[in-house]
Amino acid sequence: MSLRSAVLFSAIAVVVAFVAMSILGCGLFPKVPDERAIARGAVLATAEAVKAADVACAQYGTATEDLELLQSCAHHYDAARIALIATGSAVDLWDRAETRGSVACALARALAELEQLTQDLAARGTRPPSIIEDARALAATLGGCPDV
Amino acid sequence: MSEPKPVAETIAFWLLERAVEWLPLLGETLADLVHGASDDVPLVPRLREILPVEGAAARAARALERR
Repeated sequence: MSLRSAVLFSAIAVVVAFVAMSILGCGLFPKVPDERAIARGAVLATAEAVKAADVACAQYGTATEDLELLQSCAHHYDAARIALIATGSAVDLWDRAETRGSVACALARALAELEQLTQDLAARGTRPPSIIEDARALAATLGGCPDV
Repeated sequence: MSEPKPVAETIAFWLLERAVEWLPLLGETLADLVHGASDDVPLVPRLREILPVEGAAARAARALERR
């Protein structure tokens, strides 16, 4: 084998080794999610929970013709939606240091509204959707907000 | 007169060229698979999709009021 061929095959071996290590490394040493990724997950999970609670409320309120419940749920949905969009904006601007502190507090406000939604449902004997617990657990990993 | 290139060497060169060409894309794809491709997608438009301005309870309340 000529020197040129030896160099060439060595280069290919290095490329193959790099690809193999990338693939194996992904499985062996998974990256710990950073704070921004957790915040994104918490915001999306809370949004899905608010939607699920709103739908559950609409179904129950329509079936029982409970206008008071529907209006209360609509009020808490609006407040939770505004808080979540504020949280989403803060997460989108994550690199600006001052927005980071506001994420946990804006999310806590959304969760407080979600809590009201679930209490309205629970007061009428309806079990809130289980996705709400997932959202609470994920949001708790952000450390919460001292003001809410 | 130069001697003809061996077939194995020609194939090896071709493979190396392709590998160098595709390596950045492969790295990016692997990174997306592992760390999630959605990291740079803005959250606000997604939230507006999940939570429209008028929720289900508000629509239901409006429908009930009309009856």
